[in-house]
Amino acid sequence: MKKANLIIGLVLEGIGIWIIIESCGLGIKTLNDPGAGFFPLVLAILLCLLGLPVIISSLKNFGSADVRKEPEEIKYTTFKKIGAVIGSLIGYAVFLNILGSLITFFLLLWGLFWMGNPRRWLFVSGLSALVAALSYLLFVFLLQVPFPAGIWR
Amino acid sequence: MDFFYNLGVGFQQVLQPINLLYCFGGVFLGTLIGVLPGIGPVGTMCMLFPLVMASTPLAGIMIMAGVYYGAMYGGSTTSILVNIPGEAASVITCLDGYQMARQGRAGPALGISAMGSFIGGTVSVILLSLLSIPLAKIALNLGPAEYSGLMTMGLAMTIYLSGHSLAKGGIMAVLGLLLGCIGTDLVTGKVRFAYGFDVLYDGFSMAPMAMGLFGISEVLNNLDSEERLIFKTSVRNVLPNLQDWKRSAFPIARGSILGFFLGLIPGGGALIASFVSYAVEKKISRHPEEFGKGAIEGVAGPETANNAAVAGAFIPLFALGIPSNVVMAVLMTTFIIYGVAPGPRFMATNLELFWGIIASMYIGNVMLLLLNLPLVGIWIKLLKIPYRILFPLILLFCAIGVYSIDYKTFDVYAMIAFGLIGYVLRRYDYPLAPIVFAFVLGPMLEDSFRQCTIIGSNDLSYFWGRPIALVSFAISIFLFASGLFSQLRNKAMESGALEKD
Repeated sequence: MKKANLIIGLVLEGIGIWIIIESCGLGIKTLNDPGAGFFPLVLAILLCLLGLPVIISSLKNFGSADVRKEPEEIKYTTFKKIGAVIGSLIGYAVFLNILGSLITFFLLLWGLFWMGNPRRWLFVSGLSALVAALSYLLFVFLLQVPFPAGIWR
Repeated sequence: MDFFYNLGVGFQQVLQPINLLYCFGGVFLGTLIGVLPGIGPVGTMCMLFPLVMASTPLAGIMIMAGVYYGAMYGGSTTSILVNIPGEAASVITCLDGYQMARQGRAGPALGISAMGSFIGGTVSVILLSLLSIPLAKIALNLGPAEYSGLMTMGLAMTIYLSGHSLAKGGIMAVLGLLLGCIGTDLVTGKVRFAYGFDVLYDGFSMAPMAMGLFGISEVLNNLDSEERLIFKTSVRNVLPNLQDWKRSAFPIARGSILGFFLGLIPGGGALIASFVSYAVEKKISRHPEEFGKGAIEGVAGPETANNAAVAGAFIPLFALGIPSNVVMAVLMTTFIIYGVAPGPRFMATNLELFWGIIASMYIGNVMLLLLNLPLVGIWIKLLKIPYRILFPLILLFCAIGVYSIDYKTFDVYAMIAFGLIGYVLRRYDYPLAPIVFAFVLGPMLEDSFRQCTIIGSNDLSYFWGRPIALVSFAISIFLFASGLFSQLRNKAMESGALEKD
């Protein structure tokens, strides 16, 4: 927690400083006549100020053994699951234009159902096909959402 | 007389079969997501954008509003039977609701929760329909200075109420405001923080952010959740007996009024209403020792208050055009999709739409009572659906929903990124609501502030003649100061206790 908070605090300070520099390039002008960079500049300064207590408190508690507020460490299996979910969603975004909506829906569902029901090929494939077809009917036919046709073009 | 005529016009629209179907769809979906932990009303409302875009304004807003107040009903079922709140506003119901279920009184707990929700919801819709128009007339006299003040106060309140750390709430709000700065600055025409990405010239969309933070991150958070254990008790005698009614009547009455007014407060809403109602009931009870051990007042009050708060939260949006919480911010986006600007002129220019929404809330509350009393068994069965089947569906609908808004894969990537960020922030206790709320308010706040400088001929002394704005700014400063003071005091007490140990 302390280490993570320290990293979060430092990242916030980094973002703040970066926005301060960018805002100056946009034109700040004055409080009575603000330019495009004025509002972001004020916010970035606030972000830097608010990030300071996060850094200071994590540095202060760095060596202490107070672990009351420590979240559980992410298990390796959870880490793998998160990776699989994010990977599936990125795959969806990449293949949507190439393969079209119906196949992409099916593949996304197949991957995600497989995570929770490994080795149940028939169940996972059947359920994925059913949900993908129903979703396609609802969104593409009924609601007329113009999803890319992909290989069906 | 006008009131009844207008309400009649509203009912006439809602009672058309297609609109009834939309209204039912909204409350049904709301109850469903309320019952099922793992996705809340914000994520669900964003998923519904494709449906909204294919429907009329009344139908779209009805379904969105239905999801919100339906979720308040559904959340209690999980709290009572599983001891896991289906919705944040039902957290407090776990304390006495689950104890009642353990004592074989799950039926009366579910019954009083549904009846209280119905009464609270209906009372607050009556107050909403009576107060919106007079408040909108007052709001017509407000200028950009007052709006700047009120929005700042709304943000301050959201930060103040968002969690135990003022700094973390503040950081999230500032990040939301900064994200709201991305895109073309309307006054100077300069493009800010787009870095050559054409998709960012019009600014960031709210939907990918909300779906990522409230949909994807919630799923990531629950990936390791155990299968839910439903308390094995037969749910019978759903209608509370006379003794239950005697004990619940005043908590329900108090919860209705308290909930409505707490819903009005920016950043407040259903969660705060339920906690305050519980605290009040415990404080004034003759038997406070029964609270936490299955006191029916501990279910009736909070469940009534969280539903009453929903209609209350609509008033700032309808009368001022300012969302009072993150759900209202999503609803405001829905209005904008239809080209309708909520605010003081909304009711004058969209009278039929306004009364249609009000009428749909009356009807929606009746539908919810029917869904939650005789059909409670269906929701209990739904609770048995394993999460490994549910989460792929949630993710698919998020992925479809986010693409359907602007047909851009960029939004899918943005949603994934916000999902991951949300997951990390949740783990380290950073509240997520302020970021979305501030993102929606940010551009409005900046516009109002710059309008003030233009009206005041580049002189900020313009604010001195605007008492509402000054009072709002003063309240914001007071909130920060009192929050900071109480945190410092708590820290001092904590370190004192540690030293003693």
